[in-house]
Amino acid sequence: MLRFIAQRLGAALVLIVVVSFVAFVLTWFSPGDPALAILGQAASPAALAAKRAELGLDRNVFEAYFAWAQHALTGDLGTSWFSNRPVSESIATRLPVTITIAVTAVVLSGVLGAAIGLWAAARRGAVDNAIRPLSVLGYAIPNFIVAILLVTIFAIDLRVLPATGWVDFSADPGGWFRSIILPVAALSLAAVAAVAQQMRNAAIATLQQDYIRTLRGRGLGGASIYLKHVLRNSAPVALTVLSLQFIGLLSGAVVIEYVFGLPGIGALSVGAAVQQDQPVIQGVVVTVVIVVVVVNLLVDLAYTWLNPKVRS
Amino acid sequence: MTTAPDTVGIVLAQGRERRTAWQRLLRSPGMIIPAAILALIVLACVLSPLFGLPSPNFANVSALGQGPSPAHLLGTDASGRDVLSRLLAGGRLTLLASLIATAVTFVLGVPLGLLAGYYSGFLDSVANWLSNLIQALPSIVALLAISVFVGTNTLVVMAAFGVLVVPAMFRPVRAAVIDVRRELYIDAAKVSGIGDLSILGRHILGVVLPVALIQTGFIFGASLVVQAGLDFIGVGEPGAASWGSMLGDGFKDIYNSPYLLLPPALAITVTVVCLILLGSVARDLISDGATPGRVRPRTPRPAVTTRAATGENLLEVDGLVVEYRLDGADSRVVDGVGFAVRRGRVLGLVGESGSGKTQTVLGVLGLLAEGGAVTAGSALFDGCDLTRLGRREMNEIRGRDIGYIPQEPMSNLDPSFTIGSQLIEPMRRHLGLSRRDARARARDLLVRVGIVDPDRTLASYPHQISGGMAQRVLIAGAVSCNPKLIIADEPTTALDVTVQAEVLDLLRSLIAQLDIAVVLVTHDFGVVADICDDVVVMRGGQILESAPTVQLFAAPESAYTRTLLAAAPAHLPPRAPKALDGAPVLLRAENLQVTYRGRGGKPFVAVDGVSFAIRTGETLGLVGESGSGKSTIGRAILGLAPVTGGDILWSGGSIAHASRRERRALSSDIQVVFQDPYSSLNPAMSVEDILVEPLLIDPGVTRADARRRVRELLDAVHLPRDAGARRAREFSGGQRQRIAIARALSRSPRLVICDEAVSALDLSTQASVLDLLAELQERTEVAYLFVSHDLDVVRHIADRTAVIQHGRFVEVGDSEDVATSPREAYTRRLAAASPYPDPVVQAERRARRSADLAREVHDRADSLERQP
Repeated sequence: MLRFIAQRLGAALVLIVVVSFVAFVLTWFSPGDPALAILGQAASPAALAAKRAELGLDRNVFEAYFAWAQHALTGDLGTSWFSNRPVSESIATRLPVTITIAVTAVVLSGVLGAAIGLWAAARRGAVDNAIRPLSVLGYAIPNFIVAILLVTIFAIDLRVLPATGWVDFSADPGGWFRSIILPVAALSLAAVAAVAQQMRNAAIATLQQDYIRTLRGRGLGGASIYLKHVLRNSAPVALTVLSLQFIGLLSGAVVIEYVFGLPGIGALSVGAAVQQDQPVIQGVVVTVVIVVVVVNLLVDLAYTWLNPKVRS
Repeated sequence: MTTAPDTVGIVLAQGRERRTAWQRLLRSPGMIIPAAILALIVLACVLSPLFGLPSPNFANVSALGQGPSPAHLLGTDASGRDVLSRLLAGGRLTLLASLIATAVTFVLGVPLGLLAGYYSGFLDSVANWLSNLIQALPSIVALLAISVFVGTNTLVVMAAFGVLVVPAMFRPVRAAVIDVRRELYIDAAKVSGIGDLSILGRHILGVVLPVALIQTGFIFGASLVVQAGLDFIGVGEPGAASWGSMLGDGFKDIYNSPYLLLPPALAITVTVVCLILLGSVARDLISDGATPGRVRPRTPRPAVTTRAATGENLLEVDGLVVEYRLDGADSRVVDGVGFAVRRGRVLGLVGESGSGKTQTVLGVLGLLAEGGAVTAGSALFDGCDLTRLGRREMNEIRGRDIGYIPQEPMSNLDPSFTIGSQLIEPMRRHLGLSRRDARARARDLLVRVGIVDPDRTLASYPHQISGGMAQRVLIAGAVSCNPKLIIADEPTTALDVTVQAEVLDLLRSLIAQLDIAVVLVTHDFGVVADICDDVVVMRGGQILESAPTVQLFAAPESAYTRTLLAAAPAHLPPRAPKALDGAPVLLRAENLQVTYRGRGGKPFVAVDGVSFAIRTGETLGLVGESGSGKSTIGRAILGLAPVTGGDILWSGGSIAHASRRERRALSSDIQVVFQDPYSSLNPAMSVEDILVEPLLIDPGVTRADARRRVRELLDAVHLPRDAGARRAREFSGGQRQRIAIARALSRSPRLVICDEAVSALDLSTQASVLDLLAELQERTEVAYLFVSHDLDVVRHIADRTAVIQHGRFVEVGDSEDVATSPREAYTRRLAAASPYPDPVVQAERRARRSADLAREVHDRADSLERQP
C-alpha cells in the first residue's frame, strides 16, 4: 500500500514538472513582444531592450525555466508583468473562491448523483425510464446556459438571490451561502446527471452478480443489499466519473465565474490570456494541475480503501 | 469470458435473434428524431447564404435592438445586425470548429487506442501515460494557455482542443480492443497464422467502430460547448459571428434586452442535446442488455394451505410453472414440475443444460432473475406455500429455514467484504446474536467444514482464498442458522475432482448430523450415485422420470435416461488398442519449461521440465487438475505461451521460438480446438466466413476452392450444408464445437491440440463429439494431444495417458494401464475421487477411498514419529 502511494506521488510529481515545462515553453515561444506590450509603441529600442533583460527574456528557455522552477519551489511564482502584483498573492486570494465552488459542486454531485442512481437501479420501471432522459438533458445542457437561466429566473425576475458577487464566509456566512447557491447549482447539474447515470449502470450490473443472489438466499433484505453491498461495489465507478467531472468542473468554473462575477482563478486566467501575462498564466496552470493531482491522489486512496485486491 | 448459457441466456439469445443491433438502431425514434433535427440545423446553417438574408456583419444603425419583423425575422441586436443571419452564419463557424476538433480526436484517438489495446507493452504504457497527462488538464484552462501560443484563430484553437480530448476517444477504444483481444477466437485466428492487420480489420474493427462513433457524438457536443464557452467569455476571434459570441453579447445586455439571449441559447442547447441524445441512445441500444418485462407475478396472498403436505414431506412441489418475459416475448422454462423430499434425505435433480433444473429451485427459493416469475403451482414447505409469500416473508425463511449453496464459489462471495463479515451479517439478522457471539459461531462453523486456519479465513477477502475453501465457506453459510432444508445448485461442478470428493463427504456428514433435507441439482450421474437417495430426471422443463437412486440406475425407464447414463464418461468404452510402433514421431518435447513473470517479481513455473513424444495417428491424453499446467503445454506448442527452457521439436526441427512467418507455415500442420465454444468463434461472423478465413492464407487458393472445401468440412463434421450461411451465434454449444473442429481440420493438419475440447459440453453432446474426433482420426491419421481433467474421458479416447501435477509429469503410460492399475499415489487418488455413476459400486469405492486415506494419514503420522 505504501508502495502504491509512493508510486502515485512520484507520477504526480512528474506530471507537474512536465506540464509546467510545456506551459512555460508554449508561452515563451508565443508570438508578440511582451516588452512592447508593457511599455507601449512609443518606447525606445533601448528601453525595450532593458525591459526584456529585466523580464529575463534574453536567456535561453531552459535557463529561464530552471530559474522559474527554483523560485516556484520556495513559493515565489514571479510577478505579473502588467499589474506588478506577486503571482502567488493573486492566486492565493482567488484560489479559495474557485476551490470552494468546485469542491461544493463535487460533493453535492457525488451524494445526489449516487442517491438518484441507486434509486433508479432499485426501482427500475417507470422511475428509471423517467430518470434516463432527464439525466441526458441535465448532462447535455451547457453549464453557462443553465447559469444564464438561473440568473434570469432567480436574480432578475424573482430577485431572491444575488446575480453576481462573492461574499467571504468569514464576513457573512449567510451571504456567502446565498452567493454560492446559483454557481454551484449551474456547475453541478451536469455532474449530477453523469454520476447518476454511471451509478445506475454500475448498480444494475452489480445486482446481476451471483453474490447478490446468494446474499438474498441468506435472507438479507433490501436495505442491507443496496446500501451496503451494491453501494460498496458500485462506488468505484461513481468515483471515476466524479474525478473526471472534477477536472471538468475546474474548466467550467472559468465560464461560471464570468457569469456570476466571482473573483476566482478563472477570471484571473482569462485576463492573463488576453494580455499574454506569462508569469500569471504559468502560475495558474501549475496551480490548477497541482489541485487536480491532489484530488486524483485522494480518489486513488479512496479506491484502495474500497477495493481489497489493491490493498493487499 | 463467455460461459455456456444457462436457460435464461438461451431465452435471451432467442429473443435477440429477431433484430440485429443495427436494425434496432435505425428504427429507434430516439435516434431518428435527434438525427433529423441535427440535419435540419446543419442544412439551414450551410445553405443560409442562399436565403437572401442581410449580411451577418452589416450593422444597420437605423434599426437598433428591434423585435421580430418581416425584414428581420428574429429582430436585430444592439448594433443593428440581423439576428437570424448572424445566427446561421455563426452556426457555420461553430459547427465547423467543432467538426475540426472532433476530426482531430478521431484521427488521433482511434488508431492509438487500437494499437495500444492490441499490442500492449511499451506502446500501451506510453500512450496511457500521455493520456493521463492530457486528461489531468482542465480543458478551458489549457486552451487559454495554448491560445497565447496559437493566437485566437478559432479553427486552430479547436484543433488544439481536439488533441486535448483524445483521451476521451483513446480510453473507450482501447478498452473495447482489450475486451475482444481476450476472446478465444482471436487466439484461434493467430494459431491459423492470420496476420495482425487482418485480425484488426476483420475481428476488432467491427467492435471498435460503434464505440468510436458513439464517442464521436459526445465529443462533438463537448467541442461545441467549449467553443461556445470560449467565445462567450470573450476569448475568441473578435467580431466573428458565432453562437458563443452572440450569447456573450446578449449576456452583456441582459438587463435591457434579455430576449437576445434566446436564439443563440436555443441553438446551442438544441444542437448539443441532440448530439448527446444520439450518443446515449446508440450506446444503450448497442449494449447487450435485453429489457426484461415484468411477468404478471402472482399476488402474494396469505400463505393459506390449500392442501396439507402428505406425510412427513418437508418440501412438496406440485405443478410448478416458471416463465420469463424478455423483450416482450414469453417463454416457459419450467413446465409443471413436482417432487417431494423429507428430512435426512437427498433428492437429486438431474438434467442437461436448458432442462430447467436450476430455474425450478430458484423458483422455489424466490430468487429468479429479472423478468422471471412462478406463474402456477405450489411449493409447500413445512405447511406454507413459498410461491405465495411476499419478499419480506421469504427473507425470513431464506437463510434460516432454507439454506442455498450456489455453483461457482468465487463469484458468489462479495469481493469487497471479508469472509467473516459475510458469514456474520445474516447470522446476526436471523439469530439476533451479538457480534462477538456471531463471530465465535462463524469460527466454529469454519472448523466444522474443514477449514484449517479459521481466524485467518475470517479476516480474508474472497480473492485471497482458493475455490475449494470458498465453497466450504458457502456451505458454512448455508448451514449457519440451522436450516431444515438445503438447496444446492451444482455445488461441486466448478471444483477439481479431489476437492469435489471432499466436499461431498462434508455434505454427507452435515446431512447426517443435522438431519436436513437436501435438494441437489446436478448434471453428473456420479454425484447422484454418491450422495442422492432419490432422483428426478428433467428435460425441457418437465420431469421425465422419478425414482429412488438404486432403482433408477438399475432399471431406468425412459430412453433419455438410458442415453444419458450411457454417455457418462465412466461408462464410455475404453480405447481399442492401436499399433503405433512403426509410426514416425511428429512432435517431441524435451524438458519443456514455461515460467511466467508473476506480479511483484515472483516467477510462476507453470510447466517444469516435461518430456514426451507424439506419433502420427496417435492420441496422447494429458490429465491434470486446474493449475497443473496441462493447458500451458498445449499453448506453448501453439506459440501462445512463452517457452523459457527446453525445446519443442516438430519433425526434427525446433519450434519453441518460431518466428511469425514460421508460425504461419506451421499453422497448416498444428491446429487447436479450444474449450469454450462460445468464445472460440466470432459470434458475428457467418460460419462460412469463419471456415474460409484460414483457407485463404494459402495464396494459391481461390474463393471458389475455399467454398468447396467448406462444404466438405461441414459434411465431415455432420453439420447441415446450409450451416455456412448462418451466423455462429445461432448454433448450440455442441454444434459450435463441431464448427471449431471443422476449422481446425480445414487445412489437413497433422496434429490437433484439443484443449478441454469437450469439457464444456453436455454429456450426450460430449459423447457424440468424442465419436466425431475418433472418426476423423480414422480417416485422416491426424494425431491429437487431448488435454482434459477427466481420466475417464481420456481413457476412452487416448492411446497413451500422461498425468500432470504442479507442472510435472507424475505418470506416463498406456491409457488402460494408467486407468486400471496406476502406479503413483496421485493417479490413484485422482481415479478414486471421481464418483462412479452407480450407487452400489460408488459406495464400495467410497469405503475403499476412506480406507486408503486413513492409511495414508496413519503412514505419514508414523513416519513423522519415527523422525528424531
